[in-house]
Amino acid sequence: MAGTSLLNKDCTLCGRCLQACPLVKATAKEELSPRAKSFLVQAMEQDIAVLTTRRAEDLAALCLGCGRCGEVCPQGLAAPDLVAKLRAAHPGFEGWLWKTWIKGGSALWPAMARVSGLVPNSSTPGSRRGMIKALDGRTSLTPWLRITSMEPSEGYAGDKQAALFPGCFAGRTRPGWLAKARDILDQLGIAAPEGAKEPRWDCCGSTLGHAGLRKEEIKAHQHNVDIWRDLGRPLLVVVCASCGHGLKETALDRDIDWAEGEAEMWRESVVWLSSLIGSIHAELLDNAPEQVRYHSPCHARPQDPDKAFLARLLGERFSPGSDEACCGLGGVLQLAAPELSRSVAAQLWTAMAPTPGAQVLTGCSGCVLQLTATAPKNTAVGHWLEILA
Amino acid sequence: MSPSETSLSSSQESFLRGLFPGDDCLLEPEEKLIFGADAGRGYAPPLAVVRPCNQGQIVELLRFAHTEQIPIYPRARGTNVVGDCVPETPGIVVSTLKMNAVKAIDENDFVAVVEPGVVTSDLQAAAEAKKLFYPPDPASMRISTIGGNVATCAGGMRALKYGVTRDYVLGMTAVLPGGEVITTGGRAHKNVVGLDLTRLLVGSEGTLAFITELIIKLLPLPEATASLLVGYSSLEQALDAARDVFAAGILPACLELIAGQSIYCLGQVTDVPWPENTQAALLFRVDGSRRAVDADMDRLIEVIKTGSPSSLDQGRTPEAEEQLWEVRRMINPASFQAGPNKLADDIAVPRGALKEALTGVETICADIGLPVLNFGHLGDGNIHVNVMYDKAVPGQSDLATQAKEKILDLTLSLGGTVSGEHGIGLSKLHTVSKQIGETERGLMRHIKTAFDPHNIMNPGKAY
Ligand SMILES: Cc1cc2nc3c(=O)[nH]c(=O)nc-3n(C[C@H](O)[C@H](O)[C@H](O)COP(=O)(O)OP(=O)(O)OC[C@H]3O[C@@H](n4cnc5c(N)ncnc54)[C@H](O)[C@@H]3O)c2cc1C
Ligand code: SF4
Ligand code: SF4
Repeated sequence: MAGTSLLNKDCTLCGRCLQACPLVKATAKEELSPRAKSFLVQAMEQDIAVLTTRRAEDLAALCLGCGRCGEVCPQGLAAPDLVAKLRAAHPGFEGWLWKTWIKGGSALWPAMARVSGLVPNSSTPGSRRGMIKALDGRTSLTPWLRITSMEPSEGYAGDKQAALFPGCFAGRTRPGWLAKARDILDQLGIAAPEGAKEPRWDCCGSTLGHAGLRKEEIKAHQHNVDIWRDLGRPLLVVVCASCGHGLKETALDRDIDWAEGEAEMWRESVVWLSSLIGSIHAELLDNAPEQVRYHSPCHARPQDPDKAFLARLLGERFSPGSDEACCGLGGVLQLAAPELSRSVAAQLWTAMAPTPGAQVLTGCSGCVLQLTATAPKNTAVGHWLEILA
Repeated sequence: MSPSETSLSSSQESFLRGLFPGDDCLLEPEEKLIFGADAGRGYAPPLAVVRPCNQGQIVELLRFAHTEQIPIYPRARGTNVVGDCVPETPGIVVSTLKMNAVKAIDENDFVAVVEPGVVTSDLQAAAEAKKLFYPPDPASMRISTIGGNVATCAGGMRALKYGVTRDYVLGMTAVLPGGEVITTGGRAHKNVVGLDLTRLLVGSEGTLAFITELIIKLLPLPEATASLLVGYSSLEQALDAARDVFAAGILPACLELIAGQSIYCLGQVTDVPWPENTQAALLFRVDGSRRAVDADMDRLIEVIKTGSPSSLDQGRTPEAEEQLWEVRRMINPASFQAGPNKLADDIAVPRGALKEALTGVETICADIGLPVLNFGHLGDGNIHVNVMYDKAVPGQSDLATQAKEKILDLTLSLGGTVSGEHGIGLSKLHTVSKQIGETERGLMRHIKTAFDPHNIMNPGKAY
């Protein structure tokens, strides 16, 4: 079927991906597995079974977009890729809604709250309320760590230009993160355009692509690449793992007018803020929590620079706990099947088991949103930047 | 219900919906789809899929299915490669994935009590947390379940020293068609009372009863392991070296062989530690206390050096071992260097017949003109034979099938078996009568009827 198929290769039904998938782990439902998704598409394309296209596609599209299946599949199949292609072929209401959510930013949150009541499956006002509350820019941790000195890390010392990529979420609802990130760049002596000189970046594109909004995705990619070129191809510094992942994926977009070798250069220019920091010294303030847990975002896998940085910075106070789980935010899935998203989150909290009063840090805006909305009582959640005084 | 019926009546459907509320009863074709297929890559549509959470539901289901004479297909992760989970005669697929509790790990009795849907590596991790050890290690241990492993009697690399799944099942609870519950064996590690129903159910491929709980034997966890990868310029040298190791009184935990085309294909995709002219390689692992492992490794190397190997790499730390085993794990992906499609068999022959089996397989495939990869568990005479071909090239599929049949005939002529660990399922059913006599098969049919008079448990499979 090569060429005409939505699958790059046949799924051999080996079953390796079941173990990787957070949806299967949380629900024990094999029909949600990556293998089931591949086989649904294969069965339609190869007339293996009589299926209703719409229902098959809706089922195949129930995916968190975490990408873990792609890490283990010997055929190189990844559900997010497949789901994006399916949605691109049949964009629906939920895709539109998600686009509204991401592109509209803060101004649209009240509208979101209203529209979400219209989504047929959103019979879960509790979690929805949690999510809306999590979007409130005022929910953030009280700082408890003061940096006394820091040096740029070895690989990045020197005169390399940089630009801070704000991301939709931080850009609109967590300006505090960006202020702290700029502060860190300043202290490291890494120059980045600020104020009026700051370019107007678009969305990193990944959420748009996953929602099947391919045209918007290309537009966002091209816009960002153009800015990067105008700035003289600087480092692209991110404070959100999903943005980092989305920017890196831009390099794979064949609809961008890449010059030879340029896509690779782009990919290498995407760096996590924490990976720019070399030696660092800090002092704890009185209000420092006893236990600091950490959630590793799926989009920072397999080697999460934030986690390594925090382990260095916080020493013994840092006890990440089981950070293998996915938070379950899952883009469009959040709107199509909120109960799935919730069971994945519930599983994360059981595995992580924070003690009362513990703080949970992470390095992805989507994870912050989902974890804040689902955290047990007495557990505060935030981006690691929030703890810095 | 007659086997040709392809749908359930509405009262049958509503019975299932009542017994398996909500999402635990699937009737839509899209949701049921994946439950009709397994890693053997065959497919047939299930009539319904149900997901029990407890034994009580299985009792009710088997009472119903027995009365209505509807086939029942136990299904775990569907990683078997022989079509064991494909509902060829339309029936109800029963997913065990919600029955996945580790009920006890008992360090006094050295047993685990588990539900069938527990993933095998989760059982191993739970045991290791208490310094206990569940040795069977099928390559699929992270992706398959203990229930599936028991029902297929899965083997693994450590079988040489520790045996296969069968050797670790002390007892079980299972539901018979009709709904009666049986218990076999128990927590005692020895037991000779009555016929051994536990062993009968192990490897029965879901054809006799539905397993709901297993009592698994555990061992103390070995303190350390170490590995050795050795290259040879001929297959004979490798086989002689394996013989010398046993003759010296060394019993490794694992002894894997990589031979012929497998060596070539690995060289195409990864950095291999052996020189160009290598034709075969042996991969050893020893385990035990730290001091015993060091002593065993020294002794092993001493013996190996008498056989003029072309390369010798040792791993005495987990990281160094990992690098050596990564080579072994790369064989499957590397195999496709020799052709886009494969016909895979897991033959086993008496140890003494290994040389004849391996050279015979090579000759058969050379004559037919298709590449073949031989590798596998040398220590137990269990060889994975992969005949590679390209189904897009006219005639090659038929040639591959011819090669496969000749290889199976050769295996039987050497006193071997057509399957050492993967089982029969659907895909090897036609070979059973070549290996097992009419009287013995007649006995098996009687046993099947005693358990399952209406032939509803995974019908048409295994024997
Ligand atoms: C990549 C890969 C590597 C593999 N490596 C090995 C290997 O090294 N060694 C090996 O032996 N096999 C191997 N296999 C084959 C496969 O993993 C094994 O056969 C495994 O035991 C199947 O387990 P499962 O949980 O997937 O069971 P399934 O495939 O779902 O079921 C297997 C059989 O068990 C029956 N069954 C399941 N649960 C029950 C129950 N509760 N009661 C009664 N019957 C039940 C089913 O009806 C079926 O007949 C491999 C497969 C793959 C894909
Ligand atoms: S992307 Fe994540 S949620 Fe989606 S199928 Fe793959 S592993 Fe499962
Ligand atoms: S790992 Fe890949 S090939 Fe294997 S079942 Fe999953 S999607 Fe199919």
